Amino acid sequence: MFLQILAAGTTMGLVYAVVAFGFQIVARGSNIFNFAHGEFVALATLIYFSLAATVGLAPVLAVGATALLVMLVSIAVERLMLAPVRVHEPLIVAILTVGIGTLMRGVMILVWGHDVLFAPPLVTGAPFLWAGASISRANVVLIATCLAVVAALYLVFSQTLWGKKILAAAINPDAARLMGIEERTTRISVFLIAGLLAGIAGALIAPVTFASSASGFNFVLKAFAAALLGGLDRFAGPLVGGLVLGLLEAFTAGYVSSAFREPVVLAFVIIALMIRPSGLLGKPAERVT
Amino acid sequence: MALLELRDVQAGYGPVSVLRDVNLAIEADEVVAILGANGAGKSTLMRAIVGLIPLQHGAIFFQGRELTRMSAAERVGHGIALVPEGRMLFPPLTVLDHLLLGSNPSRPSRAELDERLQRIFTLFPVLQERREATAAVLSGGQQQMLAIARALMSRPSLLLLDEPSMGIAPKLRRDIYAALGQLVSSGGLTVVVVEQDASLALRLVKRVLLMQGGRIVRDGSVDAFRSSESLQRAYLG
Amino acid sequence: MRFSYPSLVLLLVIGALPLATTSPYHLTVAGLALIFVILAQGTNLILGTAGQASFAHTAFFGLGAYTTAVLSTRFNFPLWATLPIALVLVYVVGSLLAYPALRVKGFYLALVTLAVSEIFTAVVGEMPGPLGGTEGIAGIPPFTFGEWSADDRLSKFYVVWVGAVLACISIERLHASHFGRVARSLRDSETGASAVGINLVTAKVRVFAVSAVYMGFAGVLYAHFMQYISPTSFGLNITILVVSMVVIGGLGNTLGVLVGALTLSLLPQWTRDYVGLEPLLYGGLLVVIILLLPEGVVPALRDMLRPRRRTEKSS
Repeated sequence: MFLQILAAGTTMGLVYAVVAFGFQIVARGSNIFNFAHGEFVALATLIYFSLAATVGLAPVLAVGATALLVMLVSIAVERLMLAPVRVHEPLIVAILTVGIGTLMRGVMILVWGHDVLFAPPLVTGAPFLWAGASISRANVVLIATCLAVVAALYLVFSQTLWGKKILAAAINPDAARLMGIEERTTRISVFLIAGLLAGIAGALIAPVTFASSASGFNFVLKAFAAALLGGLDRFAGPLVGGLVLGLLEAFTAGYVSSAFREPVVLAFVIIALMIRPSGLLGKPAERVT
Repeated sequence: MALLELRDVQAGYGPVSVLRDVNLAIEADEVVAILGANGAGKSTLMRAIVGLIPLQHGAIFFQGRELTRMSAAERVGHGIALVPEGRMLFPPLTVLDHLLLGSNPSRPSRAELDERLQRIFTLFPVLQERREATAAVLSGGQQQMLAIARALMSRPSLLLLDEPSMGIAPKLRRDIYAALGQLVSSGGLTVVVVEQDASLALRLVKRVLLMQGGRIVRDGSVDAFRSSESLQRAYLG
Repeated sequence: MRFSYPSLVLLLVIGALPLATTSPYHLTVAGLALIFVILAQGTNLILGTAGQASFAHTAFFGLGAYTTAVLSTRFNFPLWATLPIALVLVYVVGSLLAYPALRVKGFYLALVTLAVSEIFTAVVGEMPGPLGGTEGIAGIPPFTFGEWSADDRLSKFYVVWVGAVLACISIERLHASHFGRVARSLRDSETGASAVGINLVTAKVRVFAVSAVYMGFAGVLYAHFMQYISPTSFGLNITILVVSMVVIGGLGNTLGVLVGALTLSLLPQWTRDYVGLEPLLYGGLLVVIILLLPEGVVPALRDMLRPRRRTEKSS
């Protein structure tokens, strides 16, 4: 029981982490708190469903194609709806993303309807049996893929000039311009990464939680919470925050009551942020903007 | 043809104008100091030249090309570099990262990049020793050297320095100015330096501009500046 | 008394609606629109005027509605008792919630307030006993004042109308008062506000709690107007709808908010044949307005009609 809950919590936590990385990278690289971010994940679950179930693409190919398509949508949204905005108050831009998210949900309802859709699993086969717990192959693949994605992100930001340009723009936009880094390029870069991450996360989770046009808000709330809980300024913030949320969710549902899963997790986030406003990894007194 | 030319420049922040009617021509290989009190518009002038703030009126030309509508990133690509006030380093990135980012506007080849790094490390040996250290752990003087080195990595033809000696111990100031002297004497670089404390800067430059209330109120040779007692008193204390 | 004529005229036109139609359906739609006006004015106070990223106000809307519903159905409390209890409760809960949340700058407030809204709907939905669970609470009495009881739609509509007029007048007066200046200074410059001696945390908490009281008031009216409430009436959709009303009308502009609230509450009357079109409509409107008229429709119209105002303002 314990191990099974642990596996389920880790799976969900890593998916939240991957989504939260996208949220964090956009927030830091372009100063946009993207409330539409969850809708990209929801869109990914639906695209994966269509590619894998309707078109009949092999699941692995469907994940890749979904990630690329969602990445393109993400860049298009940035270019068409966020780049032209003439005001720069973060609050107005955040409300704009609320509008974009709502619009995207409208389009998804139009195309896929309100139904919960059952997407084909990534891998099939007998579950692994270990210490009396059975853990599905899909869970193992999901955990491994998410860890690989996080490792790849780490490499991008620690080893490539592209990643360092994004970091530079996040730390000091004026200094970044003096390095020949255009704001436009940075914004496209961060939306590209966020779209890819949302696409991968959505495609991976679709067979586990089903595909639905209504799932977006849960993802953005969890991503937002995971990013701030871990620490918005820390690379590992979303990873830590996502895992904490996923595990807390699974253990509350397993040992307390699945009905109070959401309130317990969210109340924990609120209390944790009151005690440590800069997140679990941030310094207690660090100023956050 | 002047290397840099400003015509009737007016600039500032939001609706407020800090610079007014600035006309200025700087020839290639000149070394110029801009002096003036706090709030005279020196930093604003630097930021306007490099494009960190837009012009409200007027035009800027560099090597005969009009820059007025170019972004800061484009201007840097055309050979202007700014060492900004307060250095503006990226604390979590290493010295080497800074230098690589600094070379970004001119996109050098691998060999060209190595050669530039060598030049920087000859000029500032301490940066070679500390190339894997993050900017956050460098001393103030080392940070300033890194800021200058980062700007030089793009091989600019015009180097703008905004208060390079601010907040730095006197010995390190002399080191920094010694390095700037070397750079100038090796030729091919035009330098404009803004300072509040003029004594070091005056040893480096040939020409002095005085700013007051957002205008250039005096423009002359360093000798003329030295021979004017009132100016000496006002700016050298 | 300071009160803008366009607002007054608009409210009078709505008040004169029963001259044209007394169909219960139309009166319900109009009454709900007026409740949305109060919600939008309350949201505007914290979001537009004070510039704080708060999205918890539908939880206060729900808190007000549930307080009066529980007290009047389970304990037979009259309205004159449940209304003040609900408003005080909302004010207290709002202050308690705001105090820690507002100490932290920026978007932490957005997260905390969104989380509170989610917790509210989840908890209410899971409490089948006194709160009715997902079934909600039915059989809430209509508005009563002593012997008089608003039994028919028309009387209920007028009670809500009076409530909305009071809310609009009081909110305009608040904006014009010292309280309003404090709220605006929170948005314009936090450093400026603290420099002139305003205690930022106290000021933010008060603005937050007062705007919550408007929400709670709207909730009380809603409960007795519809006589039935359930958690779905206080969900995220409502938050998005109210935020859209405020932004489309004009953040910080009380007339704009009134126009935005009325427009967006009446708009679905034309689209209700197409189920699922609402997100498309609201989302699209919000995007188009922010891209084209970021100040909102009403301030943009005002600037068009009086182009001089703009330069006066910026000088």
